[in-house]
Amino acid sequence: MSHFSKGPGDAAGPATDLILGIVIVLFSLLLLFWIIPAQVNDAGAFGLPPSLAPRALAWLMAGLGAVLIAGNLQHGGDDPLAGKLTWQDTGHLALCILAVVLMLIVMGVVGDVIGRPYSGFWIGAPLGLIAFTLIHTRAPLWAYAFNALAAPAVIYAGFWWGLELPLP
Amino acid sequence: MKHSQTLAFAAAIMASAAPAWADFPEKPVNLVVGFRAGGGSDTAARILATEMEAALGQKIIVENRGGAGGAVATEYVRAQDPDGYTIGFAVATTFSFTPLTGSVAYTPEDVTFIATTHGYRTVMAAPADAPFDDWAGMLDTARERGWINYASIIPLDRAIMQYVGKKEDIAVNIVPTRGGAGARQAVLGGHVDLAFSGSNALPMMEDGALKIVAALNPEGIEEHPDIPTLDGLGYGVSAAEAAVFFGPDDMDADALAMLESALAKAVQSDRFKDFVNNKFRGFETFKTGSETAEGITLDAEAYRDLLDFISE
Amino acid sequence: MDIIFAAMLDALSLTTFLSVVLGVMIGIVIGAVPGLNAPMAIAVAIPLTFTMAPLAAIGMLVGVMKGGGFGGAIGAILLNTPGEPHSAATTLDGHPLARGGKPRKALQTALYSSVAGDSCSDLVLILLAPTLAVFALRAGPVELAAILVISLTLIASLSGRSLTKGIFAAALGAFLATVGVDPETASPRFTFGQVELFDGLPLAAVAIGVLAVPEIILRLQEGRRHRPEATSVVTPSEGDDRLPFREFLTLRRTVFRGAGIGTAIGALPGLGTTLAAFLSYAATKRFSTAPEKLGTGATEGIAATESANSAVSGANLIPLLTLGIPGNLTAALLVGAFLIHGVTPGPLIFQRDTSLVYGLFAAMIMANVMVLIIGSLGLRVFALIVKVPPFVIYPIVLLLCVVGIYVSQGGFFAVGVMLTFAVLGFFMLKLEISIVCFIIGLVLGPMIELSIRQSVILLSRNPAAIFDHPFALVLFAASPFVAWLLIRDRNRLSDG
Repeated sequence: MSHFSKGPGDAAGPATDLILGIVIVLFSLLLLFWIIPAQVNDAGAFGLPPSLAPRALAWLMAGLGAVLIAGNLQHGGDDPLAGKLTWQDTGHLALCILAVVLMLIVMGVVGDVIGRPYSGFWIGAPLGLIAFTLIHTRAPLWAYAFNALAAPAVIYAGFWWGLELPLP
Repeated sequence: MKHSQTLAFAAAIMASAAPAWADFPEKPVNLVVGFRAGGGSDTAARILATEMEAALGQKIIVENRGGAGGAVATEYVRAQDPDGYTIGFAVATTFSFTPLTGSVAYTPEDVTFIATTHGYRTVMAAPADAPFDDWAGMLDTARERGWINYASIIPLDRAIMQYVGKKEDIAVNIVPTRGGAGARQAVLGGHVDLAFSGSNALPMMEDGALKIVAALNPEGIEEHPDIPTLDGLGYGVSAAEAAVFFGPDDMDADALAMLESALAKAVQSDRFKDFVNNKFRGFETFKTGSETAEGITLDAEAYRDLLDFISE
Repeated sequence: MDIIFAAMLDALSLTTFLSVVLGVMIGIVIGAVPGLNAPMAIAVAIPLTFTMAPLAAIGMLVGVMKGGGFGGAIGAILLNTPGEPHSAATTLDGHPLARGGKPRKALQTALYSSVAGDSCSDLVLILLAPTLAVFALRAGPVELAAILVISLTLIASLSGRSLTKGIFAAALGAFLATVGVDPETASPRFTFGQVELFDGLPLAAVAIGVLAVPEIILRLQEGRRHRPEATSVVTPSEGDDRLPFREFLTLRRTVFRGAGIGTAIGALPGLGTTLAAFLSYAATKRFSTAPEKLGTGATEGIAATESANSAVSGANLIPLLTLGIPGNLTAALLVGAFLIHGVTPGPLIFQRDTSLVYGLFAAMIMANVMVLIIGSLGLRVFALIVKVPPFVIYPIVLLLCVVGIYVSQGGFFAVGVMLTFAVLGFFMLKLEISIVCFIIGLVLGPMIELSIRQSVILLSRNPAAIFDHPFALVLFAASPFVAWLLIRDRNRLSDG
């Protein structure tokens, strides 16, 4: 058994599934003892209570998490079916999501300030596309120019002139 | 230049309804529809939007924010600038009933009502092979067997049936369904004895696929006067549903007047009338903003009494 | 009979023809764009038809529906970015085949199977609609619950390499599907006070988030990791990148099975495309002579899912026209549009609106032919997409997903949901937790919950009434046996 940690991203290598099992069990217990009682109101039910299905599923998930832990300990932490997740993956994921979120914030704020359809889009989308292309890192310069200008133009033409759908 | 054209155009049309100096609207108006794109409510909103464009001389951008029976759109619209450039489309019960359930943060006082444009008709439908033909027969069946299976769609129709059950001392076994399709399926297949339905049950009844034992809207069904209303049956309850245009609280008065008169004109168009009467099978009605607000306050009081009665 | 032929001939006017063509093109394009899907295409097209003549309008919408069905397969196969849950089944074999250098072959299989499945179910609709509709109505909540439970058992054989993780994924999906206002008590579950969540998580945002976005993120990562030459995704036209018609004929069993499953599921309102697609895939895997090839780019897999999900769209019109009950989101949108154009659903529709209904049938046949023709012509162009360098296509696809979800699902909130599920999907991909099982749980979970709860309420006052449902009882009783059978097969397969 190797180190314990809370996030699924912490582990690399063979113990990934062990940690996944622990995370699943903890998550299910969190659901069972905190979130389900707080977020589901059984008052007014006349058949099966609304919390029955979530509870049953949470118990099922807890059980499966336990099976995963047990199976992993049995294999001595060397489960051939385990997936691989590295720090690098997590970092890349964070980068991508961050880029999209920043683009959305720019779109939202600019769109709000100017208050015309597509004003936010015209500022946010090219910046976002440049960021996405940067993340890929191997694009030639023309690709940046193409992505930043031609793509938003086509989307604008398609969505606004073609379909009359507003964007911020 | 475009601005002055707009002004002249709008003023010419609205001369009687709006002050001549009103320069609303000088840019496109956003209409936030509280229902999914493509449905009957959305279609009505889009037809009205096209007619309003002619009256206002400005583009209307229709955007769908469906969900929670109009509550999602209401939450969105009430957070916008009350300058009249963002308005919403929902139904009367979004304001008169939904806030009573305690699940939303707004009240009818948090928005400005612009107009009511048309009414919805709702009915209680029974399978074609049901052992009864009318409301009294349904009650007898329920008493004989000991209970009645009822397919419900929304909290309001459920509350009304619970009310009826309590008044008549019959057990109403409420079967929840998701959307009108589920309830329709249950009643056509004979899996329940009674189901709530929108006006799309009318053609089904005319084809003989199901029976309609009562209407829930206080106006009743004009072309079938033999269908009683719950009100007429002596329960004193009804589901008054209508399409409502609204804006954020404290909306600009000039904008409000312009929009209200544009809608008054839009509902007179042949296209819209044809849609409401023949396709949607609702009914024509027009109420100004203040009349709408009054109506909703009255409805809300009635629903509160109803809920109090069934929870006693 | 005369009136039927007259109506059908009537439909063959130039206007109808042109609107069907336009509809098919709109459907294919919107269906193919990542982030958009067929229901979205219909919603967009409905306002366009307001001013059209009824038959032309209906023809156009039918065209959009059918074009959208095929369009959805394009994004799924070429870019692994399905726009709807059922397209996830098409990616299982479609994308590996396209990446293996045969994008045209994959698309051709999808196109032919799709049109074949569609035509079969249209034929059933035209010949048997009223009879079938009455029969299908006999399936109440109890029967639906039984059908869903046994289908879920059958589909469980798709759970990827680890059964434990597969079931976990399905349970997680079903759990997340309980978010929203409970249909019975009308009190919210897991909404954390957010009105946007009252109607549940926006399904398209979740599906695209968990299925498509992680794939894009992964492709963007490849650029950072590998040498440029290794990133060239596909080397097209190596070997024979075509599907000769004779080869397609060898798939006929799969296609007919898919069409049969799709038609049956479509005629039963409330089950939907996703179930049909995965059920057909599972059945094909069970009966295939080479089950180990499924999932690695077998044309059989594509044929199974595409024939089934296209067959649903035709059969869906059976309950829609005769009972006014839409079987899925696309059909729900069509009901509204049909009403506007004077087609009023009802059991007497064939007598009442004869000319419109048979015009509609003619338009459906026409649309099938047009999908085949336009699709075939477009194949060459679509297949070029895989030649576009990844650093151009994937950033644009990511933006399209964001924009598509924003406009179709209601604003920044849905985009947030999409991103959250993209994170989840990325971890699931890396940890080898079956995303397909997650989607199946998400779609089928709430149906099973509701039908079981309805059954409990219906039977609560008279439990003996369960014996009025012999069909359901047999299915329930068979489920454990089927599960045992599948687990046994599974062990045998994995043993070698």
